[in-house]
Order: sequence, then C-alpha cells, then structure tokens
Amino acid sequence: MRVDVPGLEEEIAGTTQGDRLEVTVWRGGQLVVPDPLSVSKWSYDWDADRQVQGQSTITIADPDGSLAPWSMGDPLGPGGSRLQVTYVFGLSGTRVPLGWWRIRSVDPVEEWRVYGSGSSVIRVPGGGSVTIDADEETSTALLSRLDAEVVRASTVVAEVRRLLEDVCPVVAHASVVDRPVPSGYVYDTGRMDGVEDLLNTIQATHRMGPDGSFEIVPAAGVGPVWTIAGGDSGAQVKTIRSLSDDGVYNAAVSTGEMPGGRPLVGRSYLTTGPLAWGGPFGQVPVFHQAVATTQDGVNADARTVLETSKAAGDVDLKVTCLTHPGIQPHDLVTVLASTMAGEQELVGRVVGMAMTSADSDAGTTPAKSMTLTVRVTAEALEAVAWRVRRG
Amino acid sequence: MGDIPNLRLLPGLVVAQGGDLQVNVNGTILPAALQFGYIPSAGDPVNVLVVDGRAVVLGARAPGPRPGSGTVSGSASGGRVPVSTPAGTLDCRYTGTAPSIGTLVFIDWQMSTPRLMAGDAATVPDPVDPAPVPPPPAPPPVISTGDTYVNAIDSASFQAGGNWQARGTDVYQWFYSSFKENRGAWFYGNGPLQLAGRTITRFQFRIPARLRVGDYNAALTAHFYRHTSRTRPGGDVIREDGPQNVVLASGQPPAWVDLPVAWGQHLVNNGGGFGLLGSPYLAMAGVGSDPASGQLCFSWRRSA
Repeated sequence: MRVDVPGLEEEIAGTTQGDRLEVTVWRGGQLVVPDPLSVSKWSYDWDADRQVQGQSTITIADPDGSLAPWSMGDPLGPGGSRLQVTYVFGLSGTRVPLGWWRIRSVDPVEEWRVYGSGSSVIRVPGGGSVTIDADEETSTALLSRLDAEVVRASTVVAEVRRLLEDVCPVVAHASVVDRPVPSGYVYDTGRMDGVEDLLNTIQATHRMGPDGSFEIVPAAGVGPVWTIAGGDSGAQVKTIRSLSDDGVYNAAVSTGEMPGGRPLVGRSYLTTGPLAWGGPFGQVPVFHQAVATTQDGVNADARTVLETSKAAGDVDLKVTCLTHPGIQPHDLVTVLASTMAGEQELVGRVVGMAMTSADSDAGTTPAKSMTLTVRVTAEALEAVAWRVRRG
Repeated sequence: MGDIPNLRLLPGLVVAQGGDLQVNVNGTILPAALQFGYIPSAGDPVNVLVVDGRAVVLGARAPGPRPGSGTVSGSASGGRVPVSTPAGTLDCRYTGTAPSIGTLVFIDWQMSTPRLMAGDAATVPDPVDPAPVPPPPAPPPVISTGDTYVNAIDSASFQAGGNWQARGTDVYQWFYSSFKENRGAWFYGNGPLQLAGRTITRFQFRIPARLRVGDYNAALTAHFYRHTSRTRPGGDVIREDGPQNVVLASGQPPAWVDLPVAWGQHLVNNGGGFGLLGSPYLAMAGVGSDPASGQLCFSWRRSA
C-alpha cells in the first residue's frame, strides 16, 4: 500500500470529485517545467512478472509548442528526464504519490499555421500535443548494465542495495529474511537480472514504492491491505477468473554445495490435494539454487521454495473494482467472490493493475474503475470449489 | 545463425560404482564423458557441463590455490611426503624413492591428490633486467563525488491538539490569535536512504516561497528542526535536532539554504525530515503548490 491515510477507503468507495493526476517534470534534480503538466489522457499499468513493472503513457496539451522536444536534453526529451506523478483526491486533498517515471520515448504532434509577411513566410504554432511513454525507475537499472562488477557485499539485501545505489533507494520489507549471497555467484552484464537472481535466492521479489524507492518484498506478498467487496458500499465491480497451469508446481528441487564443493540436493513434494505429486496433475518440479551448505539446509530450502510457490498463487482473477491508487503490485487483497454457496473470501496477490483516465464534462479525471489481476492459491480455490460442490 | 544451445553447469560428485568411477549429479549417475588431463578419484567434487543433452566432466573443483612447486619439508610416510608451498603444507604422492628434505620439487595436479614429478626442480634466477610488463586491464572509473537531489513526497502542518488536515500541504509555523498552534513539516519517504554509506560534505534545503500569512511584510525567523518521520505520523513528529534559524525576508522567493551537514548525514543513515516549531506566525508553500518545496541537495563523497 502506497499510503496509510485514514478514511481513504471510504473516499474511494464514495463519490469523488475533482480527482486528478499531478505530473511534474524533473531533470538532474531541477524542476524543468515550472507548472504541473496539463494531462489530457493517461494510462498506467503494472505487471508484477515484468522486470520494469510499471509502464505509462500520457498525452499532454502543448498549445504553444513550447514543450514539444527536439533534443534528448529537452525537458520532455528521453535523455534522462523524470516525471514525478501524484494522484490527488479532489474532495479531501489526499495525495497518493505514484513515484518517479523515466521518460523513454516521446511523440510530439504539432500543427503550424503559415501566413505571408512581405516576401517571407511566418509560421506560428497552431496547437499540438505530446505523447510520452514513461517507465518506472527500474528501467534505469535495466539500462545501466554492469561493467566488470563482482559481488562485494555479504548478504543479498546489502548487495542489491549496492547494485542499485546510483539508481534509487532500496528498502526491504520487515518480513524479508536476508541471507548470504551464494558463494561463487558472478554477474553477467544485466543489472536487473543480477538483482532478480539474488532476490530469488531469498524468496523475495520487488516493486517500486511511492517515494521512488525499490522495495524488496516477500514473493508471497504483503498484506492483506484492502478488501474488495461487492454491493452498494463495496468497491468490486466484476470478477472473472482464469485458471492456468502456468507456474504451478508440485515439487521443488534445491541444489547447493558444501564448503569443499561437494554437491547437495534436497527435494520436497506436494503429497496431498488435487495437485499431489504423481496424481493426475503429474510430476511438475521447480528447480532452485540454494545458498545452504548442509543437507538439512537444502532440504529446508526445497520445502520453503515449494511453500513460497504455493503461497505466491497459481490462479489469476481479473477484478474490475473502483480505482484505488494506493494499491501496489505484490499487495495482498481480499476479494469477496460471489458463488453458488454465497460470498466467499479469497486472499490473493496483486500481479497486475491498470488505471486510466476518463473524459467527461469535468475534463480529464481518473476513471472511476480500474482492473486488478489477483493471483490466488490453488488451495484457496479448492476450498471455494468444495463449498460450491457441497452447496 | 544456428539454434541457441541448451547449456547447464551442474555440480557433480565422483563415486565408485561397480569397480568403476562414475559421476553422480543430483542423486543420479550421469553418463558424463571424461576428458584427458583429469584423473578422477572417488569423492572428487566436479563441474559437469551439459550441452544439448551431452554431459562433459570439466575436471575436479579446486578448493584453493594449486602451487606448481614446493620444498619437501618432512620424511615420507604411507607413500606420501609433506611439501611446503605458499598454499600451506601438502601431502603429496611420489615416484621411486622419496625426495629428501629441502628438495625443490614440481607438483602435478592432474588428480585431486597432488603428485610430485620425478627429480629435482631446477632453480631459476630472477631476471636481471625484467622486460616491462603491460598493466592488466583497468576497472571502469568510479564516480567518487556528486550532488543528489531528494524531493519531499509530502508536506503538511500539524495543529497541536488536532491533525494534519487543516492546512493542505502548506507549511505553517505558530498560530494566529486563538487558533491552534501549527507545526509544519516536510517528509521524504525513503528517498535520502539512497546515499546510505556515503559521506555528506554539504547539505542544502530549498525553502519555498513565503505565503502572505501573518506579518508577511516583515522579515521573520523560521525555526527548523530535524524530525524522525518518513511519512505523516498520526500525531506530531518527534524532533531530535534544532532549532536552526532561517530568516525569511518580506516576499521571500524560493532559495537554497545550508542546514548542518550532520543533519544531512543523519537523514541518509536513518531517514526522517524537517519541520517548524515556535513563533512567530508565518507560512511557506507546500508540495501541492510548489513541487520543489523542501527539496534537499546532498553533496556527497563515496567513502570506499
């Protein structure tokens, strides 16, 4: 959750008025466009399975042609300018920072009017717009490849912090268990690849925070932070479920080695339920490189990997709900699903999110609804399915 | 362009099986091809490279340095003789008669157990005028100093006995007449933590434009304190350092002012922000009307 503001949920569920997106432009720490941009259309989406999770497209009005960039170094040029984006609620004035976004590409559209003045032709701008694609700061980490870099810190969180020290702040959620960097681990040139490999060894993942910080969070998610209920005062509009076997495992194989290099392997199996190892689902293992140096260690690692894989969720629910700008990828939310057996509570992890603008008589405002992709565990759905079958 | 080969590097263990030596990978005997140049022994940890379904043993994993020569340091026992090397004393096998103590010997590493080559190693004198050696490749340059800007993600004024809502994002100090006392503050989230581990050499704060509040035609003093909150707390912030007094001129425009370097260092190490406390009554624009209100500039030096 990006902010912890009392009364925010009630404000989201109620009538909103004058909500807006405030976008300011910065370059090298300097505010390069004095006023917030006049945004006429925008869309923001996040996908937790991408390295650069947050991507956005905004269109701004540029009536006098002063903002349309010509060079990489112009305020809206893709040469390192950043957008600071804040979602502002009109009624309460509550501000939800959406963090920092790096301009990746820009498409100015200009119209010119021409009139003759003696023998020369005068051109004046006839209005235009600029469409900007901007990505979260992880895009900077992706672009700044590693040059002759080796592991220098002893633990994973400290090493990730070091890898990103020139990109953004790094904070670890309190429930992340830090562990030593696997011995002998070496980097290729991908900074984000290295970061994700390291986080994978501690069953953690990442997202960008409201202040532009890189948040390390448990792979199983953080929360629950929000309950999406239906009904008159609820926030839920529609829920569609989509079941797939992608990323579903019923065994984990962890490999490690003892200090002298003697290899170790630990295995853990799902033995119960419809996805049990060797049942109709088959034998579907996930492999993991453990940092453990004992047999007990790799056994425990295999169990943890299987547990994390289960908790991270298997089945995606596409939820349309009222726009809540405070939700982040990897937040856990509770979806109250309507079933033949009444309302059922499902806790899932947000793995996708999309917010867009809407046009109305009031101008450009955030659309009242957004879409979330919520990944729930197969176990939770089994419980619901059981109740539905039982009636 | 051909297909991309499927490559995996796996740790293996040489095991004795049916009178032969085999390679165990993850609990299975893998039909891995051995290469010339490596003589396996049971118990050797090895690297196995699997390329498109064919496995090759790359050789035993050396746990430490493998010196090429050493000096016999003791008498032979059980078919082995101790040899003193820069990597410690090694127990080496030998051929024929054991070399005598003090002999310089060559060490062969085709097996994980070191073996001595037959005969004495000739000593080589240091070259009188060594040829110049070109330097090894240089590491990439490191940026050792710089300025980093951190924006306030929020600003507001806490009213004593009230809440943070009354003044929007504007930053007020003290009160007017019988109203509640305002204690404005700026918040930075985790922003300053990016510089953790660096030495702060200069620390500046961007005061925003002064608002037409109170005795705005007179120069008045704002009292800055360092507080510990990264975001708006439920009640007032906890102030740890201050006051640092900054005189705001009549119609004061935005300006950079220096705050104590120790405050900046504390912020990058621990997080936190800055706020106002005390009289007189005055106000400054918050992040809602001036996005750069309360912006920080850290000048830093990389410590290592």
